[in-house]
Formats: sequence, structure tokens, C-alpha cells
Amino acid sequence: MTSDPHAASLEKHPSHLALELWAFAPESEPGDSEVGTHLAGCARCASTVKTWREERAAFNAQRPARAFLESVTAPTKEPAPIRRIQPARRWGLGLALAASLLAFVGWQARESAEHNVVHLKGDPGLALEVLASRDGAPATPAPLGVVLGRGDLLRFAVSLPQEGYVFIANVDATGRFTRYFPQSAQPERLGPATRLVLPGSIALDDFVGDERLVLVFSPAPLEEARIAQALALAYQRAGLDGLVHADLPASMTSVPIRKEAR
Amino acid sequence: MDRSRLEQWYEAYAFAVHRRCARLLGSAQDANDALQEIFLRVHRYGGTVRDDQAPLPWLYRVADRHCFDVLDRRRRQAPLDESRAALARHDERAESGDWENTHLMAQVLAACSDRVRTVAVAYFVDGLTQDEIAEAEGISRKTVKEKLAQFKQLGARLLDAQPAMEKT
Repeated sequence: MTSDPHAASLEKHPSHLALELWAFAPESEPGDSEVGTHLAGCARCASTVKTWREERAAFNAQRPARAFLESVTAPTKEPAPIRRIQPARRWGLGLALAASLLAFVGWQARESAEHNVVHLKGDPGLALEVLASRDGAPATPAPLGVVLGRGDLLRFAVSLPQEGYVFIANVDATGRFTRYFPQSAQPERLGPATRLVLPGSIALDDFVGDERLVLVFSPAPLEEARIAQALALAYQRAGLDGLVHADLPASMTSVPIRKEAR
Repeated sequence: MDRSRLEQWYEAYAFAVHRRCARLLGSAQDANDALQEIFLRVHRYGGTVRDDQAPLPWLYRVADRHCFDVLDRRRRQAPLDESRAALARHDERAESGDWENTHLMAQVLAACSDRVRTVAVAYFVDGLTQDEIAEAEGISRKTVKEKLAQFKQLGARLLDAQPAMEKT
């Protein structure tokens, strides 16, 4: 683009918008005939169109449609189970579920409720929900203890009692810290919301073992470095279970996940 | 919208939409997030675009709406002094009157009303004439002129704040 888009119009060139419509239209769709006629006789505009198309080709090569759209389309499908259960396994699974339920109820008595939707003790309006999608299947709420693997896509939904800044980090069993939200380093003010599905999704890497997703919710923006440092100290003190006690001016909660090789 | 059509739209228009968002938001990183949000809306609502309707103007409207929302959030988050400081820093590098600069554009857009933004984007980004904007927006040419003047005045006011800030 030139520094002044109106330099073109003064010389009777098409507007930038008209050139863009021509440049980016699919080949099957005929463009504005006036623009086409102009381009045939104007080296400058023809060169601009050519440059844009080359830049678009480079952009598409760097960001293939399939990979990009995987993250866009996964969360909008109707919820469905990640795995279908074989009928023959239902009895065994029922027993296992009953045992899990007993263990869960006992565990719940020791600590605040921690399920696929996790509420922070003392702050019932704050919650983190994990949605998982595998092999292009619909994203569904991931139950507590769900086993995930490389390539699974995660999305997050949060409930926020008031406006504030949301930061979601993953810490693996080695203490490695990874930011999951916001996607850019710029803090984003959100809420209040009863259930807000956050933009973007995360494709899991091939790390195997226990990990912890930590939601940090603060009234003022916190720098990523500060959050990372506080979580690292908390991890050194008490491992993954101690992350929610990190020394930060924020409310926190966490969701455990387990990853196995696929 | 089905997956194959979504792919066609992505391959044809994602670059243009990303570039526009980068200009409006002043950040390639933020444009990445914006592109994802916009194509999420395309996936959900792209089916409402008629076959005889050019997709790019529709995509640009969605992109503009999203970017304006982001700019509104920024305005609520960032104190005015920060915007002024950013503009002042920009002013040291930019050539006088260079409205093309994405950072400056984003800063001024963040401080504008939606009506001024729409007119400013049509004029400075799309390169439309005042008459074309008046027709497209259904407003008078005089109103277009006023909105552009407001946009320029706001930019100038933010830039002029630099000496006052240095004194404090």
C-alpha cells in the first residue's frame, strides 16, 4: 500500500478496496470489468495486485487452511462423548464408575469440588471448564481424570464473578510452564460471565504424565513473567498440588489432566 | 458453513482479513487472534452470505466490528496517558502526516466513536472518496467531512499531548 490511498484516486486509479476485491476474488468469479480494464493498462496497479497475491500465497503456505480451521471448527460442533463405549464393557465400566464416584465423594470432602468444572473455594462465581476434542471429534467437557494424548485439542470456558484478567497456564510434572491463555502476551479484560468459552484452542504436545491447568484471575493485569515465577516457586514448594497457593494478587484454581502416549 | 467452503474462503481471504486487522489493531499478534475469531463467525454465520454477494466486503465488516470491540476494550483498559505516550513514541519515528502507520492508526481509532471509525477506515484504509463513503454509509458528504475532521483532530490532540506530559 502507498502511504496515501487517495493518491491513487486523484490519478483515476481504482480505490484500494476495489483493487483488493479484484486481487483476492477467486479465479472463478469475474471481477469488476472497469478494474480489469484499468489493470490491463496500469503497470503500477497491476504490480500492486501481483504483490498482494504473492503475499497471500506466502501467508497461506505458512498457515495452511486445514491446521488453522481445525481450531476454528472443533469447538462449534455439538457436544458428544470423546469415546464411544462398547456395550460389553458397560457393566465393568459401571462398577468402575461407582468406585470412582465413592472415591470422588471422599476426595471432595477433603477439598473443594474439582470436576470438569472447577469452582474456587470461597469464590463460587469463578470456575474453569476444560473442553477436549480428539481426531476432529466434537469438543466435549473433559471429565476429571480424563486421559489425553498428543494432538488432542483443548478449549476453556470460564465463569467470572466480575471483570478481571484471565490467565491460564499449564504446568507439567517437571515444572515446565506454558501459557495457554491469552494467546498473545497482551492481557485481556473479561467478564463478568456465567460461562464464557475463550477463543482459541491448544493442541497438546507429546509430554506424557500428570499436568495441571491453572486459572489465574486478577482484578489488575499481571505480567506473564511474574505469574511464571510465582508458579515456579509454588511448584518447588509443593509440586503440582501447590500451584494454586502461588503468591499472586489473584484468585486461582486448577484442573489436573493426565497425558498418555497415543 | 461447510468445511470445504470455509477452506476456500480462508485460502482466498484470510490474508486480506489478517492484514486489515493488523492495520486496525496495530499488532500482527492481535491480528492472529482476530483472524481466529472472525473465522469462527464465518463458520457459524457465513451461510447467511448470498451466493451473489462478494464475500470480502462482508468479511471486512465482520473484521471491522471485531477490531472495534477490541479497541473499545483497550480504551477501557489503558489510561489515556498510556495512549498518549505510545503516540508520542510513535511520533518520534513516523514521518509527519503518515496516516498509514498502523500503530498510529490503531491508537487514534481506539479513541474514536464507532461512526468516526467507520468513516476513517473507509477513507484511510479502503481509499474510498468522501462521496463513495457518503453513499455507502447513507450519510451526507458534509457528515463524512466532519467525521474525518474529528478523526484528524483527535490524532493531532493525542500527538500534541507529548510536551505537556514531558513537563509533568
